[in-house]
Amino acid sequence: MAERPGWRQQAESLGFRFHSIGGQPYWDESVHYRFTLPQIESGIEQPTQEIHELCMDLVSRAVRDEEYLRRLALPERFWDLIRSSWVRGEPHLYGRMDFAYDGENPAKLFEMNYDTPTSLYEAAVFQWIWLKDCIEAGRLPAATDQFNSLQEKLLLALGILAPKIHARMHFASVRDSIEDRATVEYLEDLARQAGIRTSYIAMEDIGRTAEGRYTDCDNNVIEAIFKLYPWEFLFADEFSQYLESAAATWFEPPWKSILSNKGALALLWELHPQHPNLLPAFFETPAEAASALPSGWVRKPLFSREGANVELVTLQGEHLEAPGPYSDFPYVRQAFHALPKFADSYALIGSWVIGDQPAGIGVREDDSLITRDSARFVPHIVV
Amino acid sequence: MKRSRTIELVLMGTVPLLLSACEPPSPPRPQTAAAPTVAYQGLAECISDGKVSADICEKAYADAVQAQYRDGPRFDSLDDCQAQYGYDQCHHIQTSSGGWFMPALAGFMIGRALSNNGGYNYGYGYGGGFGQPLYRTRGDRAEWRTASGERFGGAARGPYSPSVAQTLSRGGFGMSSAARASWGG
Repeated sequence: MAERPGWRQQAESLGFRFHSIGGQPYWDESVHYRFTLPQIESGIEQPTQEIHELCMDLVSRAVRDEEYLRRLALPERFWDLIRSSWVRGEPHLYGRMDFAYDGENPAKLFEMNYDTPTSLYEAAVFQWIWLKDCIEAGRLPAATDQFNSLQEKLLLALGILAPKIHARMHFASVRDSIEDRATVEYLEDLARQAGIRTSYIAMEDIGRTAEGRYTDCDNNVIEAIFKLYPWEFLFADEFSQYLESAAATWFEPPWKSILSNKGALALLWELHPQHPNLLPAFFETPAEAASALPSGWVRKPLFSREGANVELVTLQGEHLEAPGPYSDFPYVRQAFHALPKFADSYALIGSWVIGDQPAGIGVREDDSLITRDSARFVPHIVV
Repeated sequence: MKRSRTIELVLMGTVPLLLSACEPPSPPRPQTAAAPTVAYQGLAECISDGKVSADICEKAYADAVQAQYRDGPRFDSLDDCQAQYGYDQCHHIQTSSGGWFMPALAGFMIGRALSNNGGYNYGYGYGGGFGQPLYRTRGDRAEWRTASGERFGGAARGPYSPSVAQTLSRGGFGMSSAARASWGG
């Protein structure tokens, strides 16, 4: 289907400033994916709910058993913080699971992004507007739908949170990433709509007091903060020594560090072997780490984002490797499962969980079997 | 229906993205002279003063009126609002997402930087549009307060900010990401 004329200007005016990356399109509406309602509900929504519940169960086991935390290579000095955030029931906002799904066979979980998922705005807003425009222009039938109640569910989750935020909620990302800034700005927008007073702060600008509280640029003590910044980075930063004394409420909460870790894939498989939506996954032994990757396996560092440092060997022995900065962590091995290929592109489905409910999907297309940060975001419809 | 019924945005796309608020971005803004923030009780005073153009006055005033709904003090009860801002100074606001009491606008201020063509930089200032609301509290009728309770001019803190503390150092977060070029997810 042809692109809508003027979509770039529309994107700019709606704050979607990263619609193209390095001259290449990131938002790509020259194609779209078409799902049936049963494909969405049985093929994606139901497995998403089920795996989310397995994830919550995994966290509740891990906070009771130090062996889990050790195997996940989480720093021991933060175990109490992780445990207490779960025991206190600190709420979480959102997460994304990435599935390979060909429309027929069970969707297979590639990984979870449960701490710092991005591509939220384009999934929640811009693909919704695309569909609305296409229906209004008569290019798609009026009954066409989309699996995307992201904004509705986010507003609901933030509305429940609003009475608990006394002064304000801070929103933070690293200073130089325009893409991260937009994701944070979108969530800040929704928080304001939910009646929460908000301010933005760059991660680098966060201060600390003599008592070990965190402060913003105006020296207000930070009480609640959404950070688009991974827990493993927070743990490694100098100011992590004040995490306990700061007594701030974090979004996502510290217990999410258990699930944003690729080791969680190995633990899920250990607890639920043969689950139709899981791929076999194991922690790499030192002997394996020192030897070549056999055919039919993928190797991922415990902490890695956007395909960085992923290495795979297909069943035919083809070897692929994505470079990256995460080589200093242990690895998990996951059984190779080919992404479905449509035309010349491999498609990965990002399935969102808001609060504790499946809330919609975004499709990413890449020319490679490893989906990287350059993968194009493509809209979808449900018919 | 599997999708959201409506989509509304109140913040995105309305203001340019601001970078760090604590320190000037490096390298520092070239050719941008700092201008003193100006404040007026009303639109007429702004226009007749002549320091800024009538056009800027109008834009800033409209921004300030809008911003009070977004950033202004909010109270659950009329008594709490009046205790801080004075008898007869508070009114009730009702929106689809809830209601609250807020104090009356006592004035507005205009952003703090002159751009190199002599006009005011739209969006530079206190994190929103360049016109911001000002209030007067009951205990201190002589001075304006910003929406966050700061005394106008920014030297002292008003009663609104519940918890303000001296910051000893900054920059203790963010090093891990600087060490890795890309990490989103």
